[in-house]
Amino acid sequence: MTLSHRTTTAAAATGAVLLALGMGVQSVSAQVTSPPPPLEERPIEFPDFRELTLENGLRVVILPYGTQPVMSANLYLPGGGALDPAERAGLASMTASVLTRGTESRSAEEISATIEGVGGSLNASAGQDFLTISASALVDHMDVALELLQDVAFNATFPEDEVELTRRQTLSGLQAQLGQPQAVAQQRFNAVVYGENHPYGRAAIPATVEAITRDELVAFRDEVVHAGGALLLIAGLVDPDAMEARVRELFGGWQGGERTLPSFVSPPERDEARIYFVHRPGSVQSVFGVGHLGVTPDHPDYFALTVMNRVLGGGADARLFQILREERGWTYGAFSQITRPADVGVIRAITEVRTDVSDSTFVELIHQFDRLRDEPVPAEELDAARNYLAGSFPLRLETAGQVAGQLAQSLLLGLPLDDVTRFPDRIRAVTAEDVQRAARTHVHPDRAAIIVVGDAEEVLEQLEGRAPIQFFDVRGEPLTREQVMGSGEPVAWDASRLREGMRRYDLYLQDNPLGAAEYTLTREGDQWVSTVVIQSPAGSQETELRFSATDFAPISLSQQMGQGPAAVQANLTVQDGRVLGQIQLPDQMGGDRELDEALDPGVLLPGMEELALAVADLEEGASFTLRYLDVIQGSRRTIEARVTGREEIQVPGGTFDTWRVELTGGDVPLVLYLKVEAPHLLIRQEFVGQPIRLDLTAMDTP
Amino acid sequence: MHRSFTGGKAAAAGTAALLASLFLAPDAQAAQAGPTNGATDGGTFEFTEYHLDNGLHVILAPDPGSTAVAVNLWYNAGSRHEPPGRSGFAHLFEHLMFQGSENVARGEHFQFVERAGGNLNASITQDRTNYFQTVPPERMNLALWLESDRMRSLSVTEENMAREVDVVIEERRQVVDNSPYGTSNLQAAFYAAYDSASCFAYAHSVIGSVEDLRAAELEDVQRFFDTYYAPNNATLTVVGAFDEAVARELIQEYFGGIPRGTEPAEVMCEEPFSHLPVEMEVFDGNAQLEAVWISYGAVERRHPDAAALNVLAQILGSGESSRLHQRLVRQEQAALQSAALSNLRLGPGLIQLIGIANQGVEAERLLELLDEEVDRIVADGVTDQELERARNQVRAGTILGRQTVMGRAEALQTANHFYGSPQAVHTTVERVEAVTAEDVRRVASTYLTRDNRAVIFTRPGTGQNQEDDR
Repeated sequence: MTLSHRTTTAAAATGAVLLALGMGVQSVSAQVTSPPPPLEERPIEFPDFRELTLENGLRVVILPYGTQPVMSANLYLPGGGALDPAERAGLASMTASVLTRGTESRSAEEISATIEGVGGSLNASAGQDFLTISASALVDHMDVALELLQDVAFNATFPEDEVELTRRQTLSGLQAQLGQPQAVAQQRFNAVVYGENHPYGRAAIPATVEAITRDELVAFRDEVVHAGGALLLIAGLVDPDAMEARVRELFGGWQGGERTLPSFVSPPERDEARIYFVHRPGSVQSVFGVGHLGVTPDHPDYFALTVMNRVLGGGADARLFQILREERGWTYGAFSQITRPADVGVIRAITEVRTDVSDSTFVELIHQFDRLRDEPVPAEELDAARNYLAGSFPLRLETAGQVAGQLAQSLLLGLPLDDVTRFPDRIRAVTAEDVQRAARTHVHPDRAAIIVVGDAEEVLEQLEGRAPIQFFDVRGEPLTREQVMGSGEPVAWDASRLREGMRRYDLYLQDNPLGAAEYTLTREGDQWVSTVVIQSPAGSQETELRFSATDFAPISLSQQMGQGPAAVQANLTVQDGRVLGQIQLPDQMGGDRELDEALDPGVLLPGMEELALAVADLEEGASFTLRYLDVIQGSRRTIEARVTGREEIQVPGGTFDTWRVELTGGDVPLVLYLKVEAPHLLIRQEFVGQPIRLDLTAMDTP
Repeated sequence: MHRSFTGGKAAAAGTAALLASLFLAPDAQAAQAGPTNGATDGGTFEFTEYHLDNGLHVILAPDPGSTAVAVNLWYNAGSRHEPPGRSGFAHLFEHLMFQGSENVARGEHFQFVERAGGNLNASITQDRTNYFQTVPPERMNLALWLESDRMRSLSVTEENMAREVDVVIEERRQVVDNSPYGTSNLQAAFYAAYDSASCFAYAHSVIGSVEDLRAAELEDVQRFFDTYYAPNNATLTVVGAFDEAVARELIQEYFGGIPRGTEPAEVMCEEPFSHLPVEMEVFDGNAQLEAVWISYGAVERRHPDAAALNVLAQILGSGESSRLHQRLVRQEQAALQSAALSNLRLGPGLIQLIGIANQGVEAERLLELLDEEVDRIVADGVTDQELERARNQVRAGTILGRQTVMGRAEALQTANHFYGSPQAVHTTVERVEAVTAEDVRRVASTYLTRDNRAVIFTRPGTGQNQEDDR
């Protein structure tokens, strides 16, 4: 249907909007019916810049450019995350963060107040290969920015409290990242493609961040932050003579040193395509990252691969976007990229699709990689790609910051400057044969790493048989297929191993008592009756669970949490393999409702997990899959329990030899400490990432 | 298809950046009192404006020093114009604008522009839809012609529409349903903050509901096009390396023959905050940390208090030296991140305070701290130093935002749409400099009150959430 402003009145009046299709459109002025030819071209040149090296080895580039009175100064120091020792992943990044948090003459507050007071910015960050300190301001405040940049580079003091604050923020940031499926996919991709021994394959995790000491930060700074090998790039509406003089004043006396990019170990060779499935229960999309290693930055095929990438997924005009989004409507976006770090980069495609087209997406992505190898890029597509890449050159010369960014990469990686200044010529020289040859050399769908982040219960069946599959949780811990799907066989928990008794616990928040809990287990005929009463500032909670004294089959659950309008109450019984009953919920949780859900054999009710583990055969490395029905959501949940160690722990109730058991898959990851001697009663419970724990204070179980 | 060009590149940016992107979610414009406003001191530039006979408002800012040309078209059409039962429709329409027109086949708009070396995109907020391309100077005419062709005659089939509905639903899943804090963000910016009965315009989200999107029909498309995509409801801005006489000629040639449409009806939004206060919980299986979102009912951008509210948000939430960062993130170490957004609009807008808790900290604690910081301003006011910082930040942000031709085009459009004239690009810094410490204290005590707000607590994990996309 063509919607035209000329014909709409009649069309809308009759309701026959489709009539508008093909109706003649007469214009007041003659209408232009095809794209106009280009106007006269305006010659645009890459801007000039000044380059010098100070006696201490500092390379300086001054780029006087731009139309607005702004300036930026970037100090690039070789040595980013690639220098992190494996057991200290995150060191470079933390060093950068604390660098701007205090100098010999300024506190962290003074630094931020000074730069923000003039509307400028000062940041330090660490990428894979470089630690970068950046300052920017309007030109009338540029000396404030330059002076602060110099101060943090020369005189950072790494105050102990700032180190701890940064650590805490880093840990919270890592936690937050687990909720980002794209970030999870990217991390898994790097881990798989580069391997654990290559620094690009590693990422900070809580354990490595917690292990970093202040002395290590200072040592890292001493190793990396000095004039040797560094590049200071100043861009903006500045006078180059005055700027050069000022730079010599500020940085001429800086200590030199030796520093070059680190040497890298070889990433692992891949010999087959493989799916790395990251199980993210409840995910409403599947996130795909498909690819493998690419080329080193100086590789002669780089420009052919740049054109190839543009054809594959470098924009809205490219194959992935056109096919996956425009033709199929499977996704909001589909792209590919080639990266160019100091060591070998990657070639990969990225998309997020609805779960039910995960198999089709897999097939299509592999097919599109194959096509690059199997057929030459048709002339029209090749022109389209080259025209975009070369034609957009002026658009990348709009601001001093853009130009500086392009210069920096070239200077830092030691690439020919002509690659940047004569980029359009390099691109226009690429032929269809070059692209196909480069694809045959560097694109290997038969060896691709296929990362999928999604809900296995929704997606896995679609992917099985297409390639070998390995499973992980969002933290990168390997899982088995059984752990991901829950085993098909009902687990036989032997309830006869339980013993009557009562246990008391205290609840602590950051070591301060917060409440108490009482657990009682009694035998009534062929049933176990478990009651749990928890008192805390959040309200009281009382649960009574009944289940078979032989095989753990649930019989009933009644639960009361909180008071008043926020109260939650459940009264459920199991009949003929179904859970029936009433759940009262606060309005904002959906209000009251009837529950009628199937309860498969082996599936527990909430609160029974701990009792099942008490009778499990615990041993070092053992893992168990526990399934339970989330009665509030009406959905089946799978919890993984894994014995990760044996520890003697001390609690108010005594000193115990315990198994440390990690539980994942529930609302909050937990660590349980269970008595080694059976039944394995709960001695301590910790909530991962939260300063809350439950400690045994007394028990009367023998 | 806003944000899609960067959306696919889930770069390994730091976690701070991940959360920063959250605060710039498509539905809230951040407290950058700067980038889209104007300056007296640097950042100024010349422009002319005129109207075609059919009502198209044209603003031209030629600048021979540029390397590119921005062609930027704003329609006065946002989610505020959607009736109940059609939420998400204006956004769907933005997608449909790329489905082809009389002389441009589906997908060709992308192709023509990108093959000319240009960039393009579109975006929508509650208040407007923009379509924009940056092209090399010699292809200005191409961008103008493409915009004119789809303003004149849009081409939509049942099949195209069904597919774009799918794409938009995937967009919703990616941005809201599969994304931490996506739902909380919508509650804070729309559902909980506005009274649905008196101001449906802002009480529903831009992205809309899956149910409404599925219900869209071709007749709706026709009606929307007739009403909102007419030249007299649009403003065309061209900025960069071009000759003004050439541009005038081309614009007349391409757009001059498109007939005027009828004037759209006024959007009603009376007493949008009469339902406040509101407090609610959002269970979020994607979120890993608790969070609190406070939305205070405030004023429209053109209101005399708007500048003082912007300065207030700046002092509370902008940068590491801001009050919220100093208190919540540094002193108390209770928050991973904090923010204050001035989410002002064409109609009554919001001042939003947001905190994402550190591990082990409850959202309620963040609320206490945020309240204490607001109380402190009400009781003691702000310092001259803080005012000075806010002014410098606005001035710097304004100038930085105007480095690119697209930044200048957006500044002109913003001035025109929200302040009634593109001349307002010249007065951003003036507006901010006129704000006194007493003004800031006064607007804090007037608008940031306990009974004038919606409070949303985000709880990581599962739970039954209120169905919300009215």
